[in-house]
Amino acid sequence: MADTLLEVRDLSVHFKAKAGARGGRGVVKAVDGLDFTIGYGETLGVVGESGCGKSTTGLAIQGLVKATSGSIMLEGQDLTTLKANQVRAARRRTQMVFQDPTSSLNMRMTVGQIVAEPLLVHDTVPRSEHRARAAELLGLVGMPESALDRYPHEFSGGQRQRVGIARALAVEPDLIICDEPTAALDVSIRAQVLNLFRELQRARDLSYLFISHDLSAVHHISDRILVMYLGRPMELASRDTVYNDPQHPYTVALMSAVPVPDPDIERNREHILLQGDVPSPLNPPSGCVFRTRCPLAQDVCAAEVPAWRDIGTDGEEHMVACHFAQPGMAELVAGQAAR
Amino acid sequence: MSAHPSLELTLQPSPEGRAPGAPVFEVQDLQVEFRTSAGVAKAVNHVSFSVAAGECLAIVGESGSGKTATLLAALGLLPTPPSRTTGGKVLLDGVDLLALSRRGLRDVLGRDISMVFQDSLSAFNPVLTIGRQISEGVRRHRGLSKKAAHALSIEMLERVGVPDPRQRVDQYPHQLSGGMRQRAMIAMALAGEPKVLIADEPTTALDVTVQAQILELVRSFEDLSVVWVSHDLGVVAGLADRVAVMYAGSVIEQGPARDIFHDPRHPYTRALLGSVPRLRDPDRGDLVSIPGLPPSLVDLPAGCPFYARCDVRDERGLARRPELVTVAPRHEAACFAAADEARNHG
Repeated sequence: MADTLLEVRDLSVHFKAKAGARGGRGVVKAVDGLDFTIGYGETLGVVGESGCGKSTTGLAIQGLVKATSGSIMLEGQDLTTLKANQVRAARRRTQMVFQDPTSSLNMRMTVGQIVAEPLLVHDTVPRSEHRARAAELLGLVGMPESALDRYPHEFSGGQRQRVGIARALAVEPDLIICDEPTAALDVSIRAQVLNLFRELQRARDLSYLFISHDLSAVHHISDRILVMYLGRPMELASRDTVYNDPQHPYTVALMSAVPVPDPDIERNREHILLQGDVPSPLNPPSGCVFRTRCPLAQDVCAAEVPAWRDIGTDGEEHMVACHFAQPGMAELVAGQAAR
Repeated sequence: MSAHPSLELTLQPSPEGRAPGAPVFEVQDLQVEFRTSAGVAKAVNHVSFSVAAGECLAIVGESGSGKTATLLAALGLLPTPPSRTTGGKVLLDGVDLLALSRRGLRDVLGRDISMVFQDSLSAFNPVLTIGRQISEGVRRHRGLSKKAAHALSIEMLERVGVPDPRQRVDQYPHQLSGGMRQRAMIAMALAGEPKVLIADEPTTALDVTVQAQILELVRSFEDLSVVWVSHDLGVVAGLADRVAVMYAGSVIEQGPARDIFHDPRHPYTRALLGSVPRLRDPDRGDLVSIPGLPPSLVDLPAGCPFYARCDVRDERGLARRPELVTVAPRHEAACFAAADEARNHG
């Protein structure tokens, strides 16, 4: 594997919940005990359903929410314990691209101002060169120079997302955190943006943390994939292993739920249906958080939190948190679910 | 497969679609305009489709292609102004809905035709219980007593897989999770035993595992005619017997689901299918991307609306708008090149 750019160890982000309708108070463990690394030039996809903590993970790395515990090491520097005078320099190295290109761009600024703003903040380029640099960045993402003096509302959603990507590239970060960057886009536009991400990666050796609930997009763009559920890591392996040999029942169910755009396959394959919804994060199940929807759950799953362990062979990392992780999990889950 | 008797049932009808029965619901040559500050937007241009008993027709297309406007206009649900339905018929068992009085239409909607939406929170009244809202339709349309309607509400909630239906029926919409509320909305839509269900992206806001539950649920109502609007081609592949593809307010291709997915004839349909990343592709080349943008509905070109982005265009598309022509059995496309090809090979 490539050398490690980012190493996240035992990361937890907890939020205090406000008093609810029934006066309940509690702690939401949005992210709880997360471990992963990202190599240079690598894309790590993070998938999971609403409330699994994938966005919070991205925000914690970018420093937009505070980690409750654990470490986030970027080339050996812990981003969770930065001194005030180190913050700005460290932030330059990670940048974010957000889901909604309409609300993440200031509509009162021109595209040129938006793209050049990080240059102003980080002071990496003399001011006289900002405009030229902004034009160059727009060129990189396939936008004409004439866009510089126009406003975000004059562009389509896909073009606005390109502006958001140009802004993220402005300070030459090592890691771009993409939080559902294609969720608001139509399919044909989504393809353009996914292609652009890969082009930029090839040209500039960028690393991505690609967060999305769109499993097909994540599978397309990622080298490795992390599957999360209710704030906890479930499985982490190469994209092919996650798809061909998933060993966590949740990964199996999640993959099965993704509809395949082919009527012959879609109508003839077995769908594994999970029962019910994701439990409330205020009151997660004991032991394994997935056990309430897991077709394989046993008593041990309620009693013990499964360890996050490496079951990889041939030196390939394959992390999983399940008491019953084993090869052939897909068939096992399908057999159980059919009963 | 034998371990899945229920699954086997839901696999019917086959992807080729069943033999075309008499249409239950039919839209003919529908035209809708919107008055906007930029001019008159032609949102729906001569759209026709039909759905037979027990059949599922999916309408696919990207934002602004006119999918939702078509359905809302067909049911008389678009505010007028700014919208104006300038032509066409919408037939339910041969009766033109657009010619009905408001009162007449109200008798049909909810009884013979039901609709489910993407956003279940805004589809429910927040200050009435779920049960009260399911009851409202069946009391009105089927004349059930309050008590019978309440019992039916519980039964419907149970049928769509809402846990603890006896408690849920007396709860308010905000007390249900998104997936459960979506199921309750389907229960509400189906309580009156409609002939036709019109669904506008009802699973788009849901997580995939919950979406899978909802799709399974819809598949289980086998006699229902369904018009399902979606931009998600995977969902469509699992549900539809036939598919209509919309672009810039027009249907540009329609046919049996298997033909549309395996043998698309319109260059837009081909590009749309190529732009979807597939979980089963072992290697990943670049996705097909369609250059440019759809034309403005305020200023539609005189010729083919896809002309500017098309990779098989010729001068005919600049001058004239291609009509839908049959390119294969029960398969139509609005494209000069596709028509040529069909003539030369067929």
